[in-house]
Amino acid sequence: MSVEPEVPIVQVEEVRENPVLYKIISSDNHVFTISEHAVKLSKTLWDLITNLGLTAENALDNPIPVENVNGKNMETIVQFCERHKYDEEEPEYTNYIREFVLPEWDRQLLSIDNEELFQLILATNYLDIQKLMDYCCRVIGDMAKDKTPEELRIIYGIPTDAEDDALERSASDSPGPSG
Amino acid sequence: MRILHFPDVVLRQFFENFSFEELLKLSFCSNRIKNLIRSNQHYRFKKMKTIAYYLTSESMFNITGKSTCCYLHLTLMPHPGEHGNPMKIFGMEPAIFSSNYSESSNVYLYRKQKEAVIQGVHEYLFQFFGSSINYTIFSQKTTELPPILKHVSGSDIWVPDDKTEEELESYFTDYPIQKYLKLSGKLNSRFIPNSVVYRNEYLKIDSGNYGDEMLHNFKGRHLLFIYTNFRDSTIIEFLNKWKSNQGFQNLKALFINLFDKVFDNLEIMRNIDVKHRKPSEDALQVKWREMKTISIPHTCSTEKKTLESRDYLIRDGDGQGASVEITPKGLSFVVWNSTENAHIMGSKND
Repeated sequence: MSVEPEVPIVQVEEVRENPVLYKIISSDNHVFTISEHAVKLSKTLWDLITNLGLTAENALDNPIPVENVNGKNMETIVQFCERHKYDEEEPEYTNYIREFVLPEWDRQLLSIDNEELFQLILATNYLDIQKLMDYCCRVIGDMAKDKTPEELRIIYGIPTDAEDDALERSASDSPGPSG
Repeated sequence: MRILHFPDVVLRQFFENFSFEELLKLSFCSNRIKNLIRSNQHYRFKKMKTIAYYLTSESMFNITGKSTCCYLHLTLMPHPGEHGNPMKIFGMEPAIFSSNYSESSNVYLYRKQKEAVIQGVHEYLFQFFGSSINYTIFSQKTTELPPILKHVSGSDIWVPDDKTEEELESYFTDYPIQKYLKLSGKLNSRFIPNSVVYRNEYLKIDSGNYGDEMLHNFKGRHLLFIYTNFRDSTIIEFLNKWKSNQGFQNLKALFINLFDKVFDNLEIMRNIDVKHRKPSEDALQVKWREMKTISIPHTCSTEKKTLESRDYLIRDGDGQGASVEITPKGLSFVVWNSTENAHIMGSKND
């Protein structure tokens, strides 16, 4: 991937505390710097860094391209990871229900429109950031509070049975690869 | 937001933010999301152990589920208004109360006949939780019998005063065979002598009246009376019939807890051919399993019990033993079971 030199590098305040920095390039060629503690929150990125053998000395010279995540989402992700890089490891949740209170800072960060949140969740899943995934899922789960099934269908983009049936019929009517 | 486009692993985490009640509400959106929830959250649904339907009044149902980790609670109430736009969920719609009413997401209002609604809800829950869990139905001092539900394994039913013998027989004939049936109310002379009720394997009676007739007619294995009176002569007749192998051959246990009468236990003992362990010998410990319904949370459970008694009967003909304990307040009678009471069997048939 080619890197556009005119694209600004996003600096995050906290990174000055940590001498080890990594560069990440989003799908739309925005370049981000992220501290070692923060990048460890992403299992995907940290595995990549480990496998590439990046060190404090060569990290900034070897930017990591992330083709599945655009700059807007990457900015949110970097902010989130820097904010939570020193958090204590959370105990394993039990009972199959995720019980936690979403902090106000994170609620603000995730106050974005539904489509952006949808894309952010896909990016978070790709980068394997468990805490951000928990928080995003909580935000979309909270949308269900005190809503009727009809309202839920609109919020979550769930087709009606009739729409699903029509989709199935049109799929079966359309010619296959050989037709 | 197009949640159906999320990968399964994301959906799993998304659904984990939902309680059982919220997942059920979400499942009402379409068959596709219902099937997705069922398959994606199967590991949670299979943790459910019991579902209880509780008819609290003529029109209100509480549904309580208990899993190894959490509870499910739904309330079905009649819709107060004439008009509205109910969802096509068995003719129900979710109640919307003020935002500070925390239980609002668990309350549904119905317009159709409540029997059809509760049967629909039960069928729906059955699709999620399957046949391996314990479904129980409760009713309490209502003027109606609860709706008949398939797959129910236990019932704790209030029998309304105004139901005729024929109506009760018709109702219980339609009722599915269950592991446990508890009946409360004025039950004396309410059932025909060969009623299907008496063929239940495990019958518990809370009558506040006399139960002699019910004891005579019982054909099942476990019979328990609470707050029910008996004549001494009935107990003597029962024990002698069992001892002489002239009746109650299927019976495994009988328990009576008298209401406001007392037994002349010494007189009863004098009139039966009972054997006694000497004071120098250990009392006999007989194990059995009691089934019971519990109010909080509503469920049906089994509990191991032990009867310790020095008195026992040996049946004529087959030598079957049974421990018996008669006090002024009641009777305990447990037939020895070859698996749980092997320590007694054989050694006491002298």
